[in-house]
Amino acid sequence: MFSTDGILGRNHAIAAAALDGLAKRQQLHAENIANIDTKGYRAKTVDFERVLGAAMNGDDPGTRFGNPFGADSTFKSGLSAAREGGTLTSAFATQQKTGKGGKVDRVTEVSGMMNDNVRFRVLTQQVTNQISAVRSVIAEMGRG
Amino acid sequence: MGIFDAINVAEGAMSVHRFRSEIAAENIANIHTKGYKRQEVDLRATSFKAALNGVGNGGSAKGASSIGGLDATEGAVNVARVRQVAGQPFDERQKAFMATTDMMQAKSAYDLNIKAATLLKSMALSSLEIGRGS
Repeated sequence: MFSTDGILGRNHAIAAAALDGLAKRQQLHAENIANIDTKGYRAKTVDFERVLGAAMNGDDPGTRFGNPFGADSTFKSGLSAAREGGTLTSAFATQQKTGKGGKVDRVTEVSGMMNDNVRFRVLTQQVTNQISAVRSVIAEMGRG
Repeated sequence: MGIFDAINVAEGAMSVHRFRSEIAAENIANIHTKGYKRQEVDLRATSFKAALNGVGNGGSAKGASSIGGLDATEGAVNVARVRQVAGQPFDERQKAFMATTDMMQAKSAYDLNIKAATLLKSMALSSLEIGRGS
């Protein structure tokens, strides 16, 4: 993964973090589907949009969001990981659904998987476009 | 924790559910056999602790430790044991009904895991496309 100060910039780090998060969520979907008939199993989920949303707004977690979300270590560690260009996966804490929603629902899991699959594909395309833009800049500089 | 782990989970679940359908088939085949006890498959999710302890935990009956074979992957499904259910006052029709239901359930779970594996595969492939043709 590139650092946020690298040639591909901050957007790239955010896209990479989003890809990590989507892959993590797909893993959980796969686990839930695998255990669809397991007695006593509770569905797992991960909420990374919140972490990612703040990262996309470009907010510095240390200053602006540091206090309101001070108690939320997930939020902070996720953003600082994104800032440092590290992986966000560790910030995506797995939550186990409780109550009535704890039972694995096959429609939810499959549609969630399809959604995340499409998102993943769009993001990979976007990263490719970013790389393509950087390449064309390099080519122009070479000509100059 | 990578995308291949997720594919492993889905594939392991496929073999677990195929094993369930085999047990259901045995139950159907022996519906007229005197003294035969209906078998039931208990499933369990592989916990992190079990994954640390390695293979073979919890498996007491036949095939239990080998099916799934994914004790190294947390969150995978595995066969806990195969139980013999005795002393049930069911007639043959009811037994056939139960076995068929088991089989349909196993088939549906199997299909669902195929779907999951397919989606995961297409995701892995699309991540290989990053940077291509730019």
